[in-house]
Amino acid sequence: MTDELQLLDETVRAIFAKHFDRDTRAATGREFPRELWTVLDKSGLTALGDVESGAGLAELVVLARAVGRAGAPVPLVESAGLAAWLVTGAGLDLPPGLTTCAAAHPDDDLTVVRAGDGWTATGVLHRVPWGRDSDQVAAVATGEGTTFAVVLPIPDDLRRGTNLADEPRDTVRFDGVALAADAVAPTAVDQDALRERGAVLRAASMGGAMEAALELSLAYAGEREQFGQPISSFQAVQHHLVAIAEETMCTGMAVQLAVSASPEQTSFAVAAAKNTAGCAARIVTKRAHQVHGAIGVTDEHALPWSTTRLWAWQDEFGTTRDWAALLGRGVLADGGAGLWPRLSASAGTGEAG
Amino acid sequence: MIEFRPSGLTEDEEALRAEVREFVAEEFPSGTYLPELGINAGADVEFSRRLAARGWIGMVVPQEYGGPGRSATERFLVVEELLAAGAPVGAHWVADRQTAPVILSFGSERLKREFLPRIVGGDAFFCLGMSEPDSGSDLASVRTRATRTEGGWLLNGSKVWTSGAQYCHYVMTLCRTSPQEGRKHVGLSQLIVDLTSDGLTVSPIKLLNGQHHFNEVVFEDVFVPDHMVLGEVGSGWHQVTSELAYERSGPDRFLTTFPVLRYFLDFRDVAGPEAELRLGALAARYWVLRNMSLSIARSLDGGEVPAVEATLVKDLGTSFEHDVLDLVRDLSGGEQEPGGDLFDQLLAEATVTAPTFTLRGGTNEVLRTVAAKHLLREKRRAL
Repeated sequence: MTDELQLLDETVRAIFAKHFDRDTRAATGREFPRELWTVLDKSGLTALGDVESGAGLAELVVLARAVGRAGAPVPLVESAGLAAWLVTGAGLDLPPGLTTCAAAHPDDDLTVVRAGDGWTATGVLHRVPWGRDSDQVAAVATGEGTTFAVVLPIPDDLRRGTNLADEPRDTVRFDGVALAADAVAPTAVDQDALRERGAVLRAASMGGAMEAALELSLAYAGEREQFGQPISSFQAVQHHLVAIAEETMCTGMAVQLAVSASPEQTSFAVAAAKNTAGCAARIVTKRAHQVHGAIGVTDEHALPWSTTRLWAWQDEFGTTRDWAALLGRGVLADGGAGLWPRLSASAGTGEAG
Repeated sequence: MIEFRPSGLTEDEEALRAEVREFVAEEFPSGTYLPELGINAGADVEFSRRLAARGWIGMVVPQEYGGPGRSATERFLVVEELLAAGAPVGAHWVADRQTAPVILSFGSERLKREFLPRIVGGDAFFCLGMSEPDSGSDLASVRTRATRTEGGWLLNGSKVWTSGAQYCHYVMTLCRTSPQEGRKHVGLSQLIVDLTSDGLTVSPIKLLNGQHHFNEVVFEDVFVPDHMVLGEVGSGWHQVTSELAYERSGPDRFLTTFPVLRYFLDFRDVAGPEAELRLGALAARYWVLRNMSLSIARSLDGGEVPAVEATLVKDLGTSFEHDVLDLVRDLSGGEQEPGGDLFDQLLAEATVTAPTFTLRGGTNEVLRTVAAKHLLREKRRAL
């Protein structure tokens, strides 16, 4: 990590530590932690992905990882990492308030048509993160044979849903909603590009959640005694801890590779990152809970803050299986001769070290 | 938390890789040969000499000792191309991977001058005298002992699983040079022993498929001159454990079964949703493991000793080598025919020698225990 990224990481960690400690978690329960969001907003982090800010994917991966590590129920990835990037990248201003982003759901079908000076939007966005808590949602729409970035007001009659971590995933419907001229602009970002970016950032958050699960498991195994000794002295438990560490490292590496990938490598590296995170999530959740015993499945324990997210996030922005299939089609297309050059392609742009 | 940094390649490194890739493509056109399986590769002395002629053995040896003075990363790039093609790297393998770096680190000036140029030239091949009939993963319990004699040491004991002792010139032997009193890690030394010494016998221990890879090496009053002690007398344990970062995390720990996958794609019709899904996940794992392994080579060049990372990569990589075979077997379907075409022969050999992947160099179970203790220690320190 460069010094700048290190500093960003420390800043975000400090905010979560101060404004989202155990007591705050307990007090807010499953409600949206408004105070935390206000602090993040005032610090400028919620708009970090603004293309004018100079922050790139590496910075946003730091944010995403911190969200996962803290288990914080806030749409920081959606706001900073996706909405700000999509909207400002299309030359639009990011409106005030909380702007979430559509989740590039495969069933989304938003279209826009011109109407006078402005536009009208029609279609459905499925499982929008924190839709109910947001003022507007950024999304990709089609129309006039091209792709547009749009900012839509959240309608009152959304259909509430959640993921396995109780994070809001609300489906919103637009039926000829009028939009101002400055809420729509052509973009080079299509649904696939939005899904790719979302996948890298979710994988980064998953890596953060795995780090938290690893930390908790190491601490618990070191202090919990059974048969007169800490359970960390049992080889069976040690092997669980090592497997958790290994998968956490693989996920971190896969995410970093996606960040440093050259443009022609991006789709492979992104698919590998989300697939790796998904495969790792299964191993980490199973083994971390096994280390913790029954206390780990209680509502008061911190472990579920990680594991419920890992269960949920592996399906978001493309499932583990979706990304495996995409990679596999590439392998089959390359054939035997193409496999090794593909797997050993240099990560990044040739910068050593 | 342990973190791996992705490592791109410099222009020089890319050029080296292109050169090796061209060499490998000429030497090993797909389908014209039976690939070798990683460290199980047989010895082909002529091939080793051709590599040596290009400066690709003992690459980390500096110019003053006859080597090209290249980096661990450059060696990584050469070796991974050879392993991916299933090249017969057996003869020089240990000398290149392990002996050259440890002689550089611990050897006397005399040992450096005597051995490094010969390793680089493909003229001195080494094997490892570590395990014994009663010492496998518990390496510090070795009982082979050397006792003082005029001008050197008298060596007695026996070593097993000594790969390549039938064609190597020297065996790097871990032995006890002072009786065990208290801690068993104290009083161990490493001796370089000439395999043609009087009193030394090499007998084959055949693999379950009849292949001759392993040996038993017995020492009966074998004389080893003083100057053939590597490093300090009594510091063998420290030296052996410091080799581990080199030994554990290289491309040989995840590429052993790669040629099987390559031949599978080359010589069988592979298609369909199951193949896509499983090959996709496999490709992701290769990608991540290779980059972690490369990242460790880069750390070694930076003067770090990422021993625990290397341990974890070895555990992951060697377990993964088995997964590759499971996948190929599932997708290829039907009964195995060891006497079939090149792919069949390769898959058969890989299947029956697979148990060695997760045993050699310390069993994965022991590696995990070592890694867990480190992680727990770090955690306690952080609390």
